[in-house]
Amino acid sequence: MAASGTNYINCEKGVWSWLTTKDHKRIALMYFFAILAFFLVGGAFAILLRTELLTAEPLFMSGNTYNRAMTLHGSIMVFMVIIPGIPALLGNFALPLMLGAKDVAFPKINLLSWYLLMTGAAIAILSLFWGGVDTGWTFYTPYSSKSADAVTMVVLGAFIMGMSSIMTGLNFIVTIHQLRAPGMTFMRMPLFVWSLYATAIMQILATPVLAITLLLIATERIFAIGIFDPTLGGDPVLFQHFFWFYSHPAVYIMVVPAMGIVSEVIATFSQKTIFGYKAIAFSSIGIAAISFLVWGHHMFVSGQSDLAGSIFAILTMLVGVPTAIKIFNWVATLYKGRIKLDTPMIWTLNFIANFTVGGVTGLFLAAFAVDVHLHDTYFVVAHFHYTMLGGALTGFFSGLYYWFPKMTGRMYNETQGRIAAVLVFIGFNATFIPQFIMGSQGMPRRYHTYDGIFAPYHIASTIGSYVLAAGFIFAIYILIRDMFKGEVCTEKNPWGGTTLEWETQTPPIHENFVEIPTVTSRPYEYR
Amino acid sequence: MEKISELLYMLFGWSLPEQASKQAHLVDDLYGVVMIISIVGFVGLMSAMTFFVVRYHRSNSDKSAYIPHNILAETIWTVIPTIIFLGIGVWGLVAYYKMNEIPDDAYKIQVTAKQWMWEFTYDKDGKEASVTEMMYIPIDTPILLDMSSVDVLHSFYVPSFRVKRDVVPGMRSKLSFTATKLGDFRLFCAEFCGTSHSRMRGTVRVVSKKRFNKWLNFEIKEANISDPVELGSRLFQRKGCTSCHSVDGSVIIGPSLKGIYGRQSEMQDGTKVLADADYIRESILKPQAKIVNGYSGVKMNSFAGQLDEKELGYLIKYLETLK
Repeated sequence: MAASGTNYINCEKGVWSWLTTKDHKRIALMYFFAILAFFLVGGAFAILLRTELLTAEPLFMSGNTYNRAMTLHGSIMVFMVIIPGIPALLGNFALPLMLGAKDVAFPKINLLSWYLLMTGAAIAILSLFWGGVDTGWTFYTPYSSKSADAVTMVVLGAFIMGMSSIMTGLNFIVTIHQLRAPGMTFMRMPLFVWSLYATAIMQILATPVLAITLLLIATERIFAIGIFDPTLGGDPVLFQHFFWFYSHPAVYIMVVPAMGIVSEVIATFSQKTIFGYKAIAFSSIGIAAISFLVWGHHMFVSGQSDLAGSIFAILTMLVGVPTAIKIFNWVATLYKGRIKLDTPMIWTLNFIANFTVGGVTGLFLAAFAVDVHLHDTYFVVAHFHYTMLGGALTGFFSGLYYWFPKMTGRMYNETQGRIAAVLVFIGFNATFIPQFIMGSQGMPRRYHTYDGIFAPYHIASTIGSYVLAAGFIFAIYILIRDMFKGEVCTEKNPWGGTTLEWETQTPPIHENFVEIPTVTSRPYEYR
Repeated sequence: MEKISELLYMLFGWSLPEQASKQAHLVDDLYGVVMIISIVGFVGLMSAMTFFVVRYHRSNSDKSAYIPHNILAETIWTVIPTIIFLGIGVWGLVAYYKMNEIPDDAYKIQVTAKQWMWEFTYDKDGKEASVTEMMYIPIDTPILLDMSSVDVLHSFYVPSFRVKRDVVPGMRSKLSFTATKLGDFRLFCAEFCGTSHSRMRGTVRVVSKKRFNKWLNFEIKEANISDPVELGSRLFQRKGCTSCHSVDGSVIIGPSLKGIYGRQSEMQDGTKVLADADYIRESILKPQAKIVNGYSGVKMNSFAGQLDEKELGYLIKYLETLK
């Protein structure tokens, strides 16, 4: 890493200094390695699944193996990669810097969050050796009540990772309220901070419900108390209500921080003030609020009452509005800017394109009657990959490249970075466009074997997934290689950003700022 | 309206299954309209984005303009999407309720879902018949499915009819549709239900009303035979007994069963055994226990676990009649 001067990386040495660090930037780097490792494991499962699906009849997996691989892919990507990805890694690194603070409000709890995530992840992955879990990441009852014992372990793992998520959220809310630099009013906060604020609210309000639900499942499995299992007198649909009461806000926990990154990157690489600062900031809060009222749209055909379904359908349409507002504001920001297509900007433009597709296909699914046909088909699979992979993870990589020089004191290889971003975009769309088509033609999801009429789409999708995998492996390889061998970058502000992290040295010193800055205006004041 | 419906299906029907129910066009109309809105919105946004990126690239833009906000623009792109989204939402509801209208005269079929098969039970004049995998229904007749699950969640999905409904244990769910095309249509389980979830497929066969009645009468008759001899005779055929044992005295592989009941036969070890009910039962479940002289080279497989006590009884009753 960077050699010149004292900074947070070289101020202390030894593995122990890392494992016991309370510096938010060091904790962020520890998340960096953990989360990218999880991402590669989750991705490996995805490639195994896609390869298996090359043929309509089993290729190299049994039904049970397929179901377990599918469950692990989903659980790892949701609980270990996307949910902690942006807040815990990039949020941890950037939030105190952007606020002009020395650290987060509770540095020890911050470190504890990291250990909790690792513990939860270890327990969840260990379940593999207890026979694996084949319920899908949704753990729907009563199947999960009857399925293999490893379910209890994965559930425990998810529970512990949830604690980590709650603590990070709480830490961020207190940090944002208490540790803003003098002069930084709420209306002068960077938009990434706003998005982390909205995310943290959802994390601390929704995640406890998941924790309670998972505890109820464990209780039912261990003590045979009927809660969700009808043979014990429980109600399986109740589980779906509980689960989606968390998991719908959770999809916004995943994507709202990515929207924050997009707002930062688009202003910086257009060298132009963001269009509609307030609209973008408040739409994050709007999404957070409405996200709690739409969970029933996952259950239109589940057997909930038609009245409930109707209310959820209309509320779901409303959650589309703040999302649309953001996209319009981003595109308007480009107008009359000074645009430079560096790697973070390419990822961000990919985000806008993919996320728009994810958004409009959400309209199909929110339209009650159309959802009856599309629900639980590959159309849904493609839709949420457009928001989670094409959206959240694409935004995550935009942020990784954006803050890379500040984090590491080195610059990545720009040409290679651009190639990787474009490769991911091509591979991603090649993978998921065929899935939209076969989905609307009626291909159900979570199918290990399938009707031969869908074979051409599956083959196309699998070939696309190989390109996608190559793109991501290349993008990660560049980051890791250049973290150690890249050109040294000590420039404070390589991109011409306006937020406070660009005012301190690169990489920052242990407590971020020699002197706490005073804020006199909004960010993004390019005049 | 019908013209527009046809036009939409012409444009986007390639991405949908064929329309084989009265309900299908309700889904497809809205699908087509949302598709047009999506394409217009997406192409519009992407064109603007691409144009701005090219036009205002740093190589031909020296200074950025300072435009922090614009009330008119913000209002327009808040109000218009809200109206469009709510419009789609309301349309979706109306279509859903229309799809789910259940006519009073709907023909009722009971559906039982279990890991990993579908069972359909028909009722006629108080008599029932159950079939699996293939559901017969008459064309142009409103059908009402009364569905239940014996184990975990399943979901009844026929893409060509545009219908789907979860089947929940401990609850009865209802689903109604009217098929408008003759032929076979795919039936899928759409809710993950374990190991062989993807094998939980079936077929809906839509036939003319006349053919349906004929089929139903036959199935009801078949299912309601109460004569034990007749039931035994059917088991004798179905379980493959006839491939080794004749009933007319000729030898196929094993001994003929003509006149078996009450016969004295000499065994391989020289003992004589009277073929009574116990002997026949033992010979079916443990074929190697006593072997008739001359048949030591033939090894019959045990039927233990394949026949229950009631069925064994029917078989014995049938064999008694083979004089």
